[in-house]
Amino acid sequence: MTPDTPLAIQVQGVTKSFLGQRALDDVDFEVARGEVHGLVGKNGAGKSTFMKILSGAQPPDSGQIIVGGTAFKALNPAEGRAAGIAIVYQNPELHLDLSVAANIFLGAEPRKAFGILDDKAMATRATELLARLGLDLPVNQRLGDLDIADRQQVAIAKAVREKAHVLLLDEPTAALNKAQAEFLFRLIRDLARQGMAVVYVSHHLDEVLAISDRITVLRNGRKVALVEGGSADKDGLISMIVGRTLDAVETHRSVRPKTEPFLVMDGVSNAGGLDNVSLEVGRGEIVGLTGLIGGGANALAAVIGGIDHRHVAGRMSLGGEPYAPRAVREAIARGVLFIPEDMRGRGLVMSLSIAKNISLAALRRLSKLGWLKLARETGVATDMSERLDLNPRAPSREVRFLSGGNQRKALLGRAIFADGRLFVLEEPTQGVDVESQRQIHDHLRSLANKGATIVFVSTDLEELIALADRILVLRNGRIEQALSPDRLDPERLLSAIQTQSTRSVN
Amino acid sequence: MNITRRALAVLALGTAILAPSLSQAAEKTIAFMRGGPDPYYQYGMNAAQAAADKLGVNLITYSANNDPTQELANVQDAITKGVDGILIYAVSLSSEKAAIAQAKKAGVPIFFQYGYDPSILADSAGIMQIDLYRFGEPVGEAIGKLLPEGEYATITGKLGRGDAEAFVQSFKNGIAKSGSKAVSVADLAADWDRQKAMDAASQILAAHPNVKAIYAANDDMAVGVAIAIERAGKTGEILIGGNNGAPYGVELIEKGQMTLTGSNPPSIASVHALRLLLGVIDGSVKPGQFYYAPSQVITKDNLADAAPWDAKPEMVAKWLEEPLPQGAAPPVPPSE
Amino acid sequence: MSSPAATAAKPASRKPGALRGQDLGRYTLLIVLLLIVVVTAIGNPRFLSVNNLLNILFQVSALGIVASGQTILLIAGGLDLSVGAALSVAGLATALTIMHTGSVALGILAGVVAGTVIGAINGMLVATNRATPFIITLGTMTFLQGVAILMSGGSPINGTGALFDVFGLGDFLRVPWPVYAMFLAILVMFLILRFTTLGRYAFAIGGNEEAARLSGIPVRRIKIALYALSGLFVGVAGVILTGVLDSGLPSMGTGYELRAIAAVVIGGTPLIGGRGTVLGTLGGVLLLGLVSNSMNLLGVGANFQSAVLGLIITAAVLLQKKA
Repeated sequence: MTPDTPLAIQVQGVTKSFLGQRALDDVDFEVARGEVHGLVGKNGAGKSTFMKILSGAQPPDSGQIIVGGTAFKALNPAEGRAAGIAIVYQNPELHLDLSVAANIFLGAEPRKAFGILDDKAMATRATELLARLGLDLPVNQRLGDLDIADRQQVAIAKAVREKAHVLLLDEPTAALNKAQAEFLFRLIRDLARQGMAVVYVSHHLDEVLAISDRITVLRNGRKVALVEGGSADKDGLISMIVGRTLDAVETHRSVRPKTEPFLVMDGVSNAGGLDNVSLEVGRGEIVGLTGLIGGGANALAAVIGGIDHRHVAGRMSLGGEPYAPRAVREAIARGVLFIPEDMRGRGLVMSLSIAKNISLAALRRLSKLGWLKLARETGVATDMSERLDLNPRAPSREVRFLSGGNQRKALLGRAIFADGRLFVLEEPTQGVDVESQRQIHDHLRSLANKGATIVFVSTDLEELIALADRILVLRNGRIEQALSPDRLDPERLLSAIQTQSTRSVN
Repeated sequence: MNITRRALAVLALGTAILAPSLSQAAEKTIAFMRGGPDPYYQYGMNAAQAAADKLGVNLITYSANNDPTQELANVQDAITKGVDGILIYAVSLSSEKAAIAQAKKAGVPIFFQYGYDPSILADSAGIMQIDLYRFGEPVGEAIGKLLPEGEYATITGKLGRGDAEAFVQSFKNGIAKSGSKAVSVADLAADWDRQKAMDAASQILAAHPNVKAIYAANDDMAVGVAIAIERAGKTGEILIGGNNGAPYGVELIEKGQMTLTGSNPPSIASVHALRLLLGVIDGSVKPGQFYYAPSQVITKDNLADAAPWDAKPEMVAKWLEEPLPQGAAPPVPPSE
Repeated sequence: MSSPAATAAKPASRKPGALRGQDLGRYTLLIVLLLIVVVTAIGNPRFLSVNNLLNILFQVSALGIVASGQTILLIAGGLDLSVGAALSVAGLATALTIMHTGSVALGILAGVVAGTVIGAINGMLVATNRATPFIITLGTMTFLQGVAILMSGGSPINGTGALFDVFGLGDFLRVPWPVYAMFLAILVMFLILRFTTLGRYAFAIGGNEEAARLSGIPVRRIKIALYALSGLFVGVAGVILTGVLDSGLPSMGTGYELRAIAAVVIGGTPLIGGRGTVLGTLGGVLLLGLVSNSMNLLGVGANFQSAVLGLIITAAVLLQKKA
C-alpha cells in the first residue's frame, strides 16, 4: 500500500478499560481507500472491543477516530453510519420478515407522491444494485428464507446502498461453507477495487493472509505489529499473536492416575454439526475443547451437557449407564450440569438474589412437598459464597449488582449445589479479572480432585493449557487432534488449531 | 423519573380529584345511574337533568360502563353519600337483587328504568319499562303489510342481556300477525353499533340480493343499514324498520330512507320516572308499581308530534305538567 | 484513570441509589392512596365510615381475586387477557348448575372447575406455541365471550339461592363474605410466591426463561400450572360474583382483564416479569376501587369519571419505579 493513497479511516491512540482491565491500550490503526486490512489476535486481545469502537457501539476512554476528514472523540452508531462506516456481523442484523429489497432500502425506501412506498422502484433499484455487485439474489424473497451467506450479501449490499466507504467484517466466514466463503472473498476484492476500505476480522489466519493488503496484530489490547500481507507467513503471525511470554504457563496440578471412564461417547452425530464423535472421559479428568468458531466444540459441549437433544446417531453412556437426556432436567438428574458462557442471557436470573440463583437447579433438595425451606437456602448460599470466595457475602443481594467474576462463581455454585458430577462449561472465565480467573480455575481443579469430571470449551490458549488434562481440537464437527498440555506452549496450540484449517482461499 | 415529572403527576392527580367536588347542597338529592355511555342513556340523563333543575332537585350522575359490578358499587356509593333516592337505568335486566337489598337496608328508594324482574318489583320504588316482548311488534306489523311475501333480514344488538333477542322475536311476531308470508333469511347481531350494522347489512345484501326489508333493533344500527343500502345503490328498494325514535332515526324517516321506527324516547320516560320517584319519597305515590314507558310508532306522517329524545327545556316543562303515568300489570312473555 | 479503587467504588456507589429508588417507588403508591383518602375525606366525611370502607372492599373483592391470580402470571412473564370472559363462563357454569341441579355446592364446583380448566388450556396453548400470550389469550378471550353467550342463550340465568344469601347479603362481624374471600386469595398467593417452589419457578421463568430451562426447571409444565392456578382464582371470583349478582350474566366479566392487569402493574409488577408482589397488587386494586368510590362520593358526574380514572391510572403507573 503506498503511503500517498488517501486514508479512509484513521484511529489514533485509542484506549478502553472495563472494570479496571485494559481492553485496548493506545492503539493506532489506519485503512486506506481500496485496502483490505486484516485484524488478528487471540480471544481477549481486544479485537471485538476495537470493532465496537470503530462502529460507534462503544466510546473509547481516550484517543480519536478520524473519518471523512472529521475527528471524533467518540462515534455513536448513527454518526458512524453517517460517516460511511458499516459493520457486517457473522449473523447479520437484518429483518427476517422483510424482503431482500426492503432490507437493502430500509429507512430510505423509494416513495411515490404522498409518501406511498414505491415497491416496484425499490425492487428495480435493488436488482440494479445487486447486479452491479455481481450478486444474484431474489429481491422479493423474504430474507428469512435465505441462508446465512445470502443474508451476508444482503447486508453488504445494504452497506453499499448506504454509500459506506469503510466496511467492517466480523468473522464473516464462520458459518459459511467453502464455496460461499470463496464467493465472499471475490466480492470483497471487487469492493476494494472500487475504493471500499475493508477491515477483515477473523481467526482463520489462512484467509486473512490471502485476502489482506496489510494485517494489524493485537495482543493484550496493544497493537504489536503491522505487517504487509504479501510478506507475512502463518508461523510468523502465530508468534506475534501469542507472544513470547517469559513466565511459562503455570503448571496446573499433580498428574493423577488415570481412572475408569465416566463419560463414553461412541460415534455420536447430531443436527448441531457433530460428525461421528467418539470420546472417553475419566472421573476426575478435565478436558478442554477448542477449535475455530463453528468447528464443533460448542456443539459437543451442548450434547454432553444435555441441552441439545437432536440426536442423530451414536451412543452415550455415563457411569456405565446409557445417557440420552431428552430434557435438561434429565441431565441434571444424572449429575450433568451445563454452565453457559452467556451469563446474562442464559445463565443467571438477574432479577433474583444470589441465594435464589444458587439454589435454582436443586430446589427439590431445599423443599418438602413444594414448600421451600428458606432458612436452609440462606445457609446453603452463605456456605457456598464462602467456599467460592464470592463477594459480597450477602445472599439476598440481586446478582445483577455483582461483577462478572462473582456472577460466574454464582453459576458455578449453582452447579455444585445441584450435586454435579460432570460439569460442562463454556468459556468458564470469559470477561473476568485475573484474580477471579485464578480462583475459578482452582475451584474447578479441586472439584476434579474430588472426583468430578469437567469438560470445558475455551478459546483462551493459556486457559486450555493451564486447566486441561487433555485438549481436544475440533474441526468440522470431528475431533481432529488430542493434545497433552505438558510441554505445550500457546504458539504450538494455536498452530494446531490453525493447521486444522483446510479451507483453501484462492 | 425526575422530580419535576413526579411533582407534575401528583399535581394533576390532586386537581383531578378536587376540581369537581366544589358543588353541593340542594333540597333533595337524587342519584341518576346509567348503564353505559350510549346516546340512549345520555338523552335520558339530559332530560332528567333539565327536569331536576326545574324542580329544584340536585341530580348526581353515575355510569356503570355496562359492568354489573360497577353498577352495584355505584348504588352502594350513592347510599353512602346519603342520596334521597336512586333512579337507575340498569345494565342487566335482573342482577339487581343485591342493589335492591342494599337500598332497602338503607331505606333509600330505588326506581328502575329498564330492569324489570318480577322478584324485585315489590321492593322497588317502581319500575318503568317498555314491553320488551312486544316492542318490535308494531314495526313488524307495518313492514308485514308493505311486504306480503319475500325475503327480509334482522339485525339486533349485543346478545346476552335478553332485550336484543326479545326485539327480534317481537318483530317477527308482528310480521306474522300482519298476515305476511315474508321469511327471514338472516338474523345477525351487531352489538347496537352503527359500523357493525353497516358491515352486517352489506353482508346480507351480498348474500341475499332479494332481501326486501331489514329490521334494525335500534336506530343507530338503522343508520348503518341505510348507509349500506345506499352504497349498494339500492336506496328506496329496501324497507327499513327501526326502533327507538332517536334523532338520527327521525332524520332517516325525514329523508325517506327509513320506513318507520318504534320510538321509546328516554327523555320523557326519565322525566316521568323522576317525578314518580319523587312522589314515592314524599309519600304521594305508592311504591312497588310497574309502569309502561311511553312509546309510539313514528312514520313520515306523524313526525311533528313525536316526543323527541333531545328535549328542549320548554318541552321538559310541558311534560312536567302532564298527569303522572298510572301503575299497570307488568308484561308477561308470550307463551311459546 | 481506571484504578482498581475507582472501579471497586462503582458498584458500591450504585447500590444505595438503587435502593433509594426502589423504596421511593414502593411508597409512591401508598402516597397516592393516602392523597385520595385525605382529599375524599375532606370532601365527604362519610367516606371514612366503616360502612363505606367495607363497601369499597366488597366492590373490589372479585377484582382482587382475579388480580391476585394474574400477578403470578405477570411475574412469570405471562399474561392472560381471557380472564374477564373466563369469569363470565365460570359464573354461568355456576348459575346453570344451580338452576338445573338445585345444588349450590355443585354450582360452586362447576364454576371453580370451569375456571381452572380454561386456565389450563390457556397454559397449554401458551407453553407449546411461540405466539405471545397476548395474542393467544386475545383469541381465547373472544372465543370465551362467544361461549358465554351460547351458555346463557342470550339471557341472564337468575337465582342462585344460598349463594346469594352468603355472597350477596351475608357478612361475618359486619365484613361481607366476598371480602374474606379476597383476603384469603391474596394470602394464598403471597404464600405461593414466597414459600413454594412453584412461586420460585414463576420468578425464575419470568426473569430468564432460558436460565430456568438450563437449571432443569420443567418450564412448560410450570407455565401450564401457573395459568391453571390463575384460572382457579378466576373461577372462584366467578362463583362469588354470581352470588353477589344472584345471577350468571354473559357480560359479568366485562373489562376485568384490563382492570386486573392495570392493578398488577400499578402494584409494581413489570410486564416483562421476573419480579413483583401480590401485596403491591392489593394496593393497585385498592387504588382502582378507591378512585371510583371517591368520585362517586364527591359527586363527580358520569361524564367525567372515565377521564379522571384514566388520568389517575396513568399517573400511578408513571410514579412507579422503572422496571
